[in-house]
Amino acid sequence: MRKAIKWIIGASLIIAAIIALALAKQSAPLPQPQTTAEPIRIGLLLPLTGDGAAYGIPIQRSALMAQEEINASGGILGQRLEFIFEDGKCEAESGAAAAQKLIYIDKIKIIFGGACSSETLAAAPIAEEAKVLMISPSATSPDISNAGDYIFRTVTSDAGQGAIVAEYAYHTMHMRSAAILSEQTDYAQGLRNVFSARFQALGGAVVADERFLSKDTDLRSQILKIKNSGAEIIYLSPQTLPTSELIMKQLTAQEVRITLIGNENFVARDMIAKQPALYAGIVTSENYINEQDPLMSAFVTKYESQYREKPTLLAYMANMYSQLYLFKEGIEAVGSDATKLKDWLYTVKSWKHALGELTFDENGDRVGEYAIKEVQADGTLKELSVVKPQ
Amino acid sequence: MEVVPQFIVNILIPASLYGMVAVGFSVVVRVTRMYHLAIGGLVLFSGYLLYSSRLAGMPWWLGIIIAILITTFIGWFMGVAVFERFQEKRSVRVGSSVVAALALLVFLENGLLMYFGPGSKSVAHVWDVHHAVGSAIVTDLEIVIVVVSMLVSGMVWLFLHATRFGKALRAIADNAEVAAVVGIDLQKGRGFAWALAAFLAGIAGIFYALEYTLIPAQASAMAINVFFRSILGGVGSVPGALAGSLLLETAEQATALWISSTFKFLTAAVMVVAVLLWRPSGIFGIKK
Repeated sequence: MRKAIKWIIGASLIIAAIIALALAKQSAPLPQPQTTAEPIRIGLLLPLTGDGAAYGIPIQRSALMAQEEINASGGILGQRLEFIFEDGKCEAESGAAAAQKLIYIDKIKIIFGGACSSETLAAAPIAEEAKVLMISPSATSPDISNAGDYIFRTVTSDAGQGAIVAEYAYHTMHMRSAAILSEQTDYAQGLRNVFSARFQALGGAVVADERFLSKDTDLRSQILKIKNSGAEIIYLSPQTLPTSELIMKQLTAQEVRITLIGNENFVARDMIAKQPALYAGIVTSENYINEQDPLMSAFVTKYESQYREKPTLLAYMANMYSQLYLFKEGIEAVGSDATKLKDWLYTVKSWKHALGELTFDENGDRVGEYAIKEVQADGTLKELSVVKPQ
Repeated sequence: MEVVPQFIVNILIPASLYGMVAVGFSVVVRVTRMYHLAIGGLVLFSGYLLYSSRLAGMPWWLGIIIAILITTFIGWFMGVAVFERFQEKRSVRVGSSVVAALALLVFLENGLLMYFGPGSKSVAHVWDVHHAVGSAIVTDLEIVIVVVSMLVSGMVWLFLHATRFGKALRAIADNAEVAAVVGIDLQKGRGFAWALAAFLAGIAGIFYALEYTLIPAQASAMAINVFFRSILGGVGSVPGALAGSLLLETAEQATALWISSTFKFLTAAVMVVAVLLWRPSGIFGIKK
């Protein structure tokens, strides 16, 4: 018996080693075409593992697509574009560690990311102190506005988004009492605070305010409380796609028939297309994007054919994709010095690309428009209205 | 609207699901004296097997049977290949076995992460018919979960008390040396305990996949949950594991409903400590 087990263990170890070797060989880097100029190195700080990877990976892929295109057409002033990836795991600690590594070990001057508010907020002071330019495609927490002079984002702040959703619920949907179900993370709580404050300022009442931890699998008690609160509408503010799905499964199981309005997790096209019945009817919002725009539709077509999936959070992905072209223009204009680039970014006005029109305000936030959308029974999104934050 | 019926339903579903896993965990602890924390990984593993079988287009019944069988085999294999090594003539290397169990848990969790990715996977809805019980809503699936979990746990208890082999297992649990002297095959008994625990985890994994969503990171949360519950109830006792699960779930859900969901794990932890101070061997534990 024991001998047999030893053999089995030994054999599986050898097999594992062979597989590992084969994989290592397969993923060995292909020889790159030689260019004489030094490459331009950009750090990518994104959640590549954990729940946040559900959007970190698509954003990473969008960056890779733009990198490939730029390098194929001669790079930036003849310099190739190179990425160094760090995993922020959508957590503060990992975000800070990743920023430290990029700035002090890799000597990076430009960081794209993080994707989540938690990792971005943790990395921002480190970047600011080292005068490293950081630009996020998707971190929306209101706190990032004041995170520093070198901190930008091509996404709008939730200070606008939460308020617009609250106004839509109050004025257009005529809702007067709301319940909130939110996850305990920087991003989700930021939205919860803004929504709650705005809805009450308008004259509505928040009759239940329930939260859950990211590791919770059972939200039944929170849902039961909300069901009995008499709310006309539930504002859902999860952090990630897995928790969004969990919420919907358990709301359905308890036959909650209250109108739902959600944060931008619920525009995840891939997620809603897979289970349209689960998400149909949710009203949600995202940065306004024109899907008919030729640059945008070219991006979507190329992404779908290259990765064989629907773009999940299209607005964020387009932000990252366009961001690289923005920097290409910036570097061509003022060179790759972080401080000069920073000053240049503040002058960007109505810059047009796949992400739409881009203007930065004095905090380095994107001034933008929002679209209110509704999930349809066939899993597509219908645009209900387009709103500008005041 | 009356809250209480739904509240009870909300407790019963997770309590019986986790309770069944805790029963297996308890049996292993008693028979082998090792804390089989990797069981949390086995639950998720079984769920992912079901998910894969659906992707491969297998019929439901076949997918479920295959998932449970493979999980049972892996659990048994882990036991005989790894944990059996920490079994010595008169004692058990508890420290090493706990480290090994944790390592296996991490291994399973990260294996699932590597293979299936970090996003959530869900198995299409089945037995989705809703029933109203008073003011509570229950789905067919949830009824199946509660009934099957209770039934299976009951059968384990019956097996331990009414069959010859079950009695032999209890004898090993009480005093392995004496059991060996009267001719009970210790290795066989322990092997059976590993397989039984994995079998229960396999069933729980199926239910978990159907009722919740599968995320690899939940494996360790599951392990802690099961560990707490069986310790609270008194390790080694089938009714203890179920009672521990029920008590912990009640505390968590009541806190979430009437105080704040933020504190539900805190209440649970405080209760475990309080109960253990009052009865160090758990509610149904055997005093030594």
